[in-house]
Order: sequence, then C-alpha cells, then structure tokens
Amino acid sequence: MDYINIALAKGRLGDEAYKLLKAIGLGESIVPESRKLIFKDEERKISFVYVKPSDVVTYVQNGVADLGIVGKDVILESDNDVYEILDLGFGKCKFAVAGIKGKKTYKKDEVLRVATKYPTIAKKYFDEKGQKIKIIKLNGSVELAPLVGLSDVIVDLVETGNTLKANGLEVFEDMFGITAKLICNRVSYRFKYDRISKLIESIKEWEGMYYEDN
Amino acid sequence: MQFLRIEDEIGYLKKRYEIKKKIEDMFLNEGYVQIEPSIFEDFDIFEHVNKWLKKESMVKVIGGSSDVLILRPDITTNIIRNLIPRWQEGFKLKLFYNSSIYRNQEIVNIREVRQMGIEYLGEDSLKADKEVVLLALKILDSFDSRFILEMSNSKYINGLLKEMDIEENHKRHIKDLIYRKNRQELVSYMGILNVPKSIYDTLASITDLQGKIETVEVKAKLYYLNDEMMEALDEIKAISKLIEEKGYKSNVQVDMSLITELDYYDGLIFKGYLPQSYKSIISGGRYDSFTGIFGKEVPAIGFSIDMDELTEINYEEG
Repeated sequence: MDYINIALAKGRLGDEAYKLLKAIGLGESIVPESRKLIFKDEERKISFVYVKPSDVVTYVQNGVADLGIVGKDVILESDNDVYEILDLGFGKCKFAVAGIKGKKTYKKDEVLRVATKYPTIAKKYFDEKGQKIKIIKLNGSVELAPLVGLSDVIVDLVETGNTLKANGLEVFEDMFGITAKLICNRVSYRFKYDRISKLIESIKEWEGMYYEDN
Repeated sequence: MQFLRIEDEIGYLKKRYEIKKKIEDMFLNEGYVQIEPSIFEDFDIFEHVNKWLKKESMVKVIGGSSDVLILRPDITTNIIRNLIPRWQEGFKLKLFYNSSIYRNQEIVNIREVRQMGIEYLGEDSLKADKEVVLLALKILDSFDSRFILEMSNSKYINGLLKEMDIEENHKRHIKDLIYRKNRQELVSYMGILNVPKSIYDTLASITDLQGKIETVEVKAKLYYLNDEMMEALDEIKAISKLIEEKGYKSNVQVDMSLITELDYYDGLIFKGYLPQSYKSIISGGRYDSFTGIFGKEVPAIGFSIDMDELTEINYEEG
C-alpha cells in the first residue's frame, strides 16, 4: 500500500492540526517538540511533513503531499487548483482593512495605498469595490506601514485586534472570515479515494461537525 | 524539460519519439487521419469564442498590417474554426494531431505544451462517444494497467444550473466551488442566494455523486430536476455498459461533480490519470454546440494527451 502524505504548517496552525490528528488516532508518529520535519507512521502508512504555511499548497498542488492542512488565506493568495474538501473549524480569524484610528479617509476618486502580505486578496477585494489602489507588498509588521506613512491602509488577518490596538490602528472594514482547510491533490483524490474518504469521515465524526442541512 | 548533458536530452527525445510512435499507431489503427493545425489564431475571434482563457495567457504576434494574431492556445478551436465553415452534410471525419499549444506563463515566459489528440466529427453521438472513450482507455492501459478514468456528463450540472434563476457570475461562482469540491462554502453560498430546496439538495449532495456507475446512478436519480440531467445519466450508463464488456470497469470512476477547465463541453467529459503522475494525462469530451459558433452544429468529440507529462514519467522510469 502507498503512503498517504500529509503536509502540515509549522507554527500555530500545525499545532492545532496535530491535536486533531492525535484525537482521531493518526498522530502517534509525530513528536511535536522534536526538530524533525518528516514523521513516518509505518503501521498506518501515513507520513507527515512540516513546511512553511505558505508552502503547504505548493506541496499538495505538485502531489508531493496528497493532503494538506492550511489556512484559507494561503489558498486564496496562491494560484492553485487543489480540492478544498473539508473545513476544519479551527484557525478562525478574519481579513480586514485597517488604518490609523479616526482617520478613515479613503475616497473612490483617489488611489489608495494598501500595504499587505496578501496582494492577490487585497487586489481582488478592492477591484470588486471599484476602488483604485496601489499595492505595497510587505512580509511582516504590516501595522507599521500607515504609522510611518508608507500606506493609507493595511489589509491583514485579524484575530483579536490587540496588535492593531497596541499600534493605534483600528479596523475600518471587515472583509471575510477564514478557517483552516483540509486540501487534497486532484489526482491523489482519485487514486487514494477510499482512504481519504475514511479520513474525512473520522475527522467529521470527531469534531461532531454539524452542517445546517444534516 | 532542460538537461545539463546532451546524452540525457537525446535519451529524452528518443523516449518521446517512442511514445509518439506508439500512440500514432493506435490512432492509425482506428482509422484516424493526421491533420496539421495552423499555428496562428485571430486574437479577436479566439477571444470571442473562448471566454475561459485569460487574455494575459495568450501569446500575441503582430502581423504586417498591424492585425493582432495569437499562437494557438488550443488545438480543438483551431481545427473546428478551420473545418466547420466548409462542412458538408453527411461528412464524417476522424482526425488526429501531434502538435503544440502556446501559453504565457507568469506574463513573460512563453510555454510550449506538446499535445497529441483526436477529434471525431460528424458521427452520431453515442457511437462516437463509445469509440473515443474506448481508445482513451486503451492508450492509458498501454502505459499502466492501474490507470483511472474519471467520467461525467456536463449536461448534469448545466441542466441543474438552468433551473436556477440567478445571474451568470453567481453560476460561475457555483461552478468554481464545485470544481474545488468545496461543499461547505457551496452550501453557505446557496444560503445567501436563497436557492429553492430541490436545487439546494442536489447541489449539497453533488460531491457525493461519485464512485461506480451503479451507486452513482441510484443516488443521482434522486436529484434529477429535468430531462437534460436525466439524459446525462442515460448517456453515462450506455458507455458504462461498453466499459464493463471490455473489462475496464475497475478503472473507471463516475463523478457527477467533475468540472473541466475548458468551458466548451456539453456532454460526456472525462479525464485519465496514471499512478506515476500528478497531472491529468488525458482530457476530453463532447462539444457539439461549440461547433455551432462557427456556423453549423456538427456532432463532435475529442481528447488530448499531455505529451510532456507522459514523456517525463516514462523517461524517469527508464
């Protein structure tokens, strides 16, 4: 039997994913405190790789991993055609437009300077609103941009809003909420359909996931 | 593919030729005749009939009198545009090609994608469907008997969308969600759109409508809303019978939630996979109404084979 390879994100989302895997009896082989990046469960024929969150989609897209657990933000930001087979419920936060408190000054007839780690998401959002923007791509500390005059607003993930508050910023607009997703390679889905379906079922069972329609 | 050593490149080319020859022989055996598609397309016409392809990904060329041409981004369009305007009643053509398409990748890099494929024009639907699917099965089988052919009929989802009184961009979004098997977001999107119960139930179950034909048929019948959806099931059933007779039953999976990247299919659709590869090797379907754009509706079905991927996996295996 072939292995099922699962890509997990290093960091907080990966920790949540580990708890989930452990709970459904698949995480035995993972030693979270070790610095290893690959774990193999020979008995169950499952292997795990820990990669940078933004690389999880790349691993699954190219079939190096059959499945991946990753935030919807990463899926939206990259060009891919993976299956988004399950919403995992954890890793909840929202995208928002934020800026300096009390300075909500953006007008349709002016080009808005937007600093963000997520240029694709920001561009799509403002395109739909008909707002002209100039994207300033940053890799971190996005909150700084409006304070130093680099941008008018930022587009970023907001969980508690504490970082914004601490830097004198506030949310101007909520964009949309995101959660962690179980993603799957299109071809793996076919070749490993039965095992992947079983995995999905056990996740659903454990989470007692409840959709409004069943 | 790029190589450091000339020997490797020669080895790769040798492999590609072997594969090409093998597939070509299979095409010739079935009575297909080779056609050479022209390399240029008129930008305006192509863009008008193929809305699925982004403008950025077309490779533009400026002609002498400043008219804009593009290097063919799709072979089927090219063949159809060339033949259909001169079509005569009663014609039947079985054509094959060994050719390339050109797309811009990441704005600056032009990518050449090698494809072989067939187009079967003018033959009554079911007979051609059967022949073409069988040929696809034989080709996949000749590379690896563990192959999988994924099959559906686009009339099922298109028929379903016809029942919905919503704007085109909402339909587009629904198709995108089905394309990604994203059931949960599909369900919440339908909540926003206030979709009637019967349609809601069908769409909420669409990703479950997959597996062997018998199981899919039973489930899919519960949800059908019009003749078009029923036709889709009937056509799949007819082909499944042939597949079983030919001993390929275990290789075929029916998936009613299958949506293809190309938008012009309006009947049987299928994708073929090999276990060594994470891309679809064969991709095809029926596109009768697409021929209508060029002046006359002619029964038409075809598929293309990703030669680069097929060569690569066979080259690696030695």
